[in-house]
Amino acid sequence: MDILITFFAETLGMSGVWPLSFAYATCIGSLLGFVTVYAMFAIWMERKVAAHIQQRLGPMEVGGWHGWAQSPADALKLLFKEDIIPDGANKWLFWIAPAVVFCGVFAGFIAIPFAAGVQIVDINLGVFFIIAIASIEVVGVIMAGWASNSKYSLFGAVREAAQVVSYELPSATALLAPILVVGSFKLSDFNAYQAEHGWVLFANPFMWIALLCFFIASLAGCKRAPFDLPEAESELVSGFHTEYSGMRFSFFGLEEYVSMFVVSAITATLFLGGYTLPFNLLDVGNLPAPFHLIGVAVLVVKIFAVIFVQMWLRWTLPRMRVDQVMSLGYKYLLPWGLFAVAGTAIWQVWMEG
Amino acid sequence: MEALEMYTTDDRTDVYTEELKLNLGPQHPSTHGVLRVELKMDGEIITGSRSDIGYLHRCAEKIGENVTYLQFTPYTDRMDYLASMNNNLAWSLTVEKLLGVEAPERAQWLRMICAELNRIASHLIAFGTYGIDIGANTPFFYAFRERESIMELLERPSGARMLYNYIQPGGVRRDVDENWVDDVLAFCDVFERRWAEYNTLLTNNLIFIKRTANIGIVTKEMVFDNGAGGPVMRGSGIKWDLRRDVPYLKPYDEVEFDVPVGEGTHGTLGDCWDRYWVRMREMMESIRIIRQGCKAMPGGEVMEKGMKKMYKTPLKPAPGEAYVRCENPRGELGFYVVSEGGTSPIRCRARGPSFCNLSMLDSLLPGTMLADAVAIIGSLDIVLGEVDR
Amino acid sequence: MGSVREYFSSIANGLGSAAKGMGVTLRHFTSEPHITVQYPRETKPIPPTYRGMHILEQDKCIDCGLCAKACPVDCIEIEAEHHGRVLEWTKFSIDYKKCIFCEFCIPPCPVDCIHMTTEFELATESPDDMVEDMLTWTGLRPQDQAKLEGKTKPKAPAAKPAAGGGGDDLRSRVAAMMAKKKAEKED
Repeated sequence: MDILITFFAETLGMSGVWPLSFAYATCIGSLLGFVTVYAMFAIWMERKVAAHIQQRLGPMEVGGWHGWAQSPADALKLLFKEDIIPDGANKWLFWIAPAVVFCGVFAGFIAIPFAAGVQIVDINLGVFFIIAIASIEVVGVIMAGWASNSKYSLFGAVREAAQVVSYELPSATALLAPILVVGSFKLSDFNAYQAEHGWVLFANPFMWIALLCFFIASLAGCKRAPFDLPEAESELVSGFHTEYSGMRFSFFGLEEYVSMFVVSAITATLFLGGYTLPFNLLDVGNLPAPFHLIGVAVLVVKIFAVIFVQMWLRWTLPRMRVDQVMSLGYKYLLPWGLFAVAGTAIWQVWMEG
Repeated sequence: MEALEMYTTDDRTDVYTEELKLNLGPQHPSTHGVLRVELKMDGEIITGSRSDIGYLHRCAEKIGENVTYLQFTPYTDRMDYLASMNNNLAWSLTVEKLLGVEAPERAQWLRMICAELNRIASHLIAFGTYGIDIGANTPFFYAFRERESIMELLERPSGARMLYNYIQPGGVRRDVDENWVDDVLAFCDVFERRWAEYNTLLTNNLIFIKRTANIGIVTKEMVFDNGAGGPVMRGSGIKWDLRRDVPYLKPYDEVEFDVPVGEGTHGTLGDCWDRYWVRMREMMESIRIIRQGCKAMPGGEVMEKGMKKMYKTPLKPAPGEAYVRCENPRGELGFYVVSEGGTSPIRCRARGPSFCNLSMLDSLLPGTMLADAVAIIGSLDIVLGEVDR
Repeated sequence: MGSVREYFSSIANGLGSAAKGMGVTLRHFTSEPHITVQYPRETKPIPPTYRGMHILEQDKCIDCGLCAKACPVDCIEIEAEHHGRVLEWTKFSIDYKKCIFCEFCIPPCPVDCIHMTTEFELATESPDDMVEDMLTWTGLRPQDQAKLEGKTKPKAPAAKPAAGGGGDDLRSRVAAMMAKKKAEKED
């Protein structure tokens, strides 16, 4: 971020608010580009992972080598589709819902450190900022479900609201455990700590419980199986985005994969070492520019590993019913998350004086 | 496992609530065909339901009054299209009873093997689509991998992959080729290993158990009131199987097999999990029957000599009536035929098991949630082609 | 106490069964071969008894109409004029919009002239194309005409028109298959 500001201020000779504005614009523009490309790749990966689990091939035609161009082709097709707005739908809400949903999860990118210094804003409360801002998508989903003027959509929206809002609690609670170990909310501090002391996951045995709780809670927050009842295909056709077509529909798909990315980024940064290598083989945090960008590659590899596990789970497990989801969140994840936090606190005091 | 508590409707009088009418419409991924269920819901709880059938009615029984006895066989294929060997078998036995002939021994053994292979194929679809209804998309593909092998096996003697038209009055259409029996036995070996995989993926999965145990409990009274049969009946603990108790084919008397019944393993007796588990075990029993059948099958003709002319001149049974019932994968399939001496029957009625199983739906659904409705419909394993004919 | 034990056992059960299921899917992901046949580049082998599109050996056909009578859906239409033993053909068509591929037209034939091939790719661009004409010649052939007029003794039937003449369409493919079958029989 600073590099960009200095670039715009000194090399290009801008002054006043312009360097900052241009720096922000460049960051957000490149992130949007990255997100689009990533989403296309993630959809292709999901289809390939699903296919190989199911002993078939997945996309093979478009683009030649294992159908790599299937996602861009689908995106192009969706762009050309007719924009259908159902009769009786609330046009304003229908129009703005995908935007709200996408912006909510996209805003989470602001705080993620991709490499040393490669972070848009190093927010003091980084972890909680991401959790909080991602909950704006709930509003968007409810708008989508209501504005569609369809009972199936309403079902999906109401289920989703209950689920996502309920699972923010165990999610945040489980995250308190690594925060206790590292002693700060800032995401860059996590990377610095893990470069010195090894992964937070191995800091104490309660971390495993915290990771499990957070992982499951984040699956529910992303509406991924086994918690995908808001978009339960076999019951509600498509849940809250049944009535959406074309590019609006692709926004919802984008939102799902982007939220998977954000949540995996938090998992990777807080538990799995962030952009540092295991055993700090290469001190990625302190490499001279541009080699410090290796951190981006390291983080992305870890994120994709977590995303692979999420996809693997989706194609293995059946779906839970809404009351079972609620009971899992409140009766199992929340107590065990609190137990992990309490255990970590006791461990920290006892082990480290 | 705690039982699902019945939720009460909102008793507060200061809040205006209305019941939601939802159409689990004819076009729905989970209604196993074109079935429409009108649901009255209070939030997620279903308070009333009414099923609406007839979307797949193709006047098969009326057509039966205008075609000959042999020509009706492909129409029976298309009633329960997932178990078409069993349908052909029931129809052929009915016509044979009317005529007073019996198929030769080799034909009977071939009929039994083909019927059991088709039973496995049908239960595989029930298993796979039930997984999709509950949310697990993967077991469906594994089930279809096995089903593909079965379809290839049955394609060789009959000539078609799904609507076989192979078992005809008098015997079967043609004999199997020389490697067929060995290939069937090889399939049995492969299938046993795969069956264990299905159990790991779905049967023993806690989420699946929680979704299906204590849901859709069918009591013994309900079974008798509605005439349900097959796994729906056996899932409620009633040990009755037409293959064993009213053997309609001689070879069924000569092979050994068990009749699995539900035991209330994970919840109440007669819930969805019991029915599902009965189907899974029935697949293994069918493998047992097929193995014994392949070993014991005699040589000989496959079509009764006197019946071979039915291809050229239509059959003209003496006036009379006949009713034969067979064990379809879904229950008790019966054909009732009345002849007045002409080339076409004057009445040919099919008693479809799915129709009777489906009639229980309106009493099973109220009190459950929408997600359970899908699980219940899936566990009844209906085929709308048989319900509507 | 029972419910406490239930609580912990359901956690163990849930995690254990999920892990076992994940093991199965991982094994499939890494080691099981795919079973996809990438049609139309690859096809599966089709047994010779497959019930596909029909072919007619027109020379043998005696216009008895048994195949048309046997059809449950009346999709075969035959029209020919008899001049003694010689047939002047107008029509032998099968309407594939109606045909249910049940094979009842094959056994009644007294001269074994109609068969079902393994041709299953029947898609056409208009409904009218779905009515397939099974004839390779209509009317009278020159040798039959000569025979009727009593001028010459009937010669051996002329060789079939070149199989596959004119492309990739269904008729040519079936004619090619017919010629190949005949050649195999004569070998």
